[in-house]
Amino acid sequence: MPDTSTSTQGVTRPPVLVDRIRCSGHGICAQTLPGAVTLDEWGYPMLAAQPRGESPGSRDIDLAIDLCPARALSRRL
Amino acid sequence: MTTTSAAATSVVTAPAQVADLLESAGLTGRGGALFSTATKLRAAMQSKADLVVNACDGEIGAAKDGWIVAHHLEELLAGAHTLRPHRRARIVVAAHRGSRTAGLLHAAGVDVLEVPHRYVSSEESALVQLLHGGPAKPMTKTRPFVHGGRDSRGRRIRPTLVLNAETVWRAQQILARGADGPAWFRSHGTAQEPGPRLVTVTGHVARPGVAEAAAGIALRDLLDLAGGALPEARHVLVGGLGGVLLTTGETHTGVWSREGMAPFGGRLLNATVVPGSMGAGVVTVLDPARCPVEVLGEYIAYGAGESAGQCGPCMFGLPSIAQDWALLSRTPDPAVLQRLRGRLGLVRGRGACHHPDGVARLAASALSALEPHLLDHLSRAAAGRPACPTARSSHA
Repeated sequence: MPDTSTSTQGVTRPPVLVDRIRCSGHGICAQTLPGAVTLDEWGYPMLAAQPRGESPGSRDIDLAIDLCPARALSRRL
Repeated sequence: MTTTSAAATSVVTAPAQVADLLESAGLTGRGGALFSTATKLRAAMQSKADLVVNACDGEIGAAKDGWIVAHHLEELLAGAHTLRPHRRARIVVAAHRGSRTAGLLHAAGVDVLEVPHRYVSSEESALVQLLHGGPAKPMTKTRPFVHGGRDSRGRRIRPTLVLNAETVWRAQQILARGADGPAWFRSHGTAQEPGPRLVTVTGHVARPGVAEAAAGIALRDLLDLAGGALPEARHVLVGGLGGVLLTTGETHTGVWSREGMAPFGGRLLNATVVPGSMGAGVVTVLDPARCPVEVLGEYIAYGAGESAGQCGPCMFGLPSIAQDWALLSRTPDPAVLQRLRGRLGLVRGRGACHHPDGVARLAASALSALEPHLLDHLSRAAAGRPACPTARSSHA
């Protein structure tokens, strides 16, 4: 399944989906979407259910999707 | 399948009625996911899906799918034809390569999908990928594969319905009773989880084997179906590698149902690990002569080795968890325990399939059930004595 993280009611859902099979831990998403994406101890993205600070804007999300070398990011449907 | 239309046309019920009957019966998937079979079937009919009947018994210790093939093959195949999502749908039965089950299916002239002996290879999307000529590895699901989709390389995947063998067999039992089917089915189990349900009871019990039970049964009664846990037994694993570990004391009060098992999942982790469940219907009583920390270490190490190696959090997380567990069983250290707890919370929901969630859930429940034993290890280590008091433990 795609990473839907915690989709508890009342909590902002992460703005992007990670294809965990494609993702090879480049970590660029954590730089383009700071606050919304952090990296675990092995370098793979963790999507914050509640982003720190402001939620990333649409342009940042598009940039993160474009810059992902593994093409593992997509918009949440 | 040697499908001949004779079997297919013997079905009198219209497909729409089939789904309605299964819905009023409340049949849900018996492979562990517990999802509504009627909902899946309706989607499959709409998208003209092929059908894979999963008879792999993929969970450790499970033998119920093989039992159905050995004892109720005719009913199983009739069920598969009744549930055929559209007239020209291909029907295959998945079984592990070289298994007795595969042999029985071949002998009956069934179209068999031979599945490699890996833990995750019988996961739903892994079977779908294998059916399409790809490796038997889970796929990322942006939507259920019953609607079709694409694998991570972008190749097209046809709509495919995957149903557990017991699900198909139960459907046939319901449909064979026609309008009386749903009431018969609901006379077993609970309102939330109706119907009879097979369970494999293995390990340190008097008579290991497959038995018929239903949700809501006391765990102790469930063990009694296999002659009961042997007197010295101390720990019971419910649900295999993706299950939960209980003390035998907890089985005296515990109830086998989703609700009854839920609290045993992530007790130490503030619900950051998935709740426990009945899983694929397997209950294993551990050998009391072996150190339970070591036995669980073997399960966790096996789980780490069975990662398909596709998703980072699973391929790096599970070996790290297994390593922490091994450290903990040899030289108990509170810092390692803390790191392990953190890592268990870290892998959840971060794989294409639920394999990492399952292993993390098992480890979390085991940390709780084995806490007294681990503390004993700790105090023995502090006193410079061998870590484990258990007789036949290799590290004693």
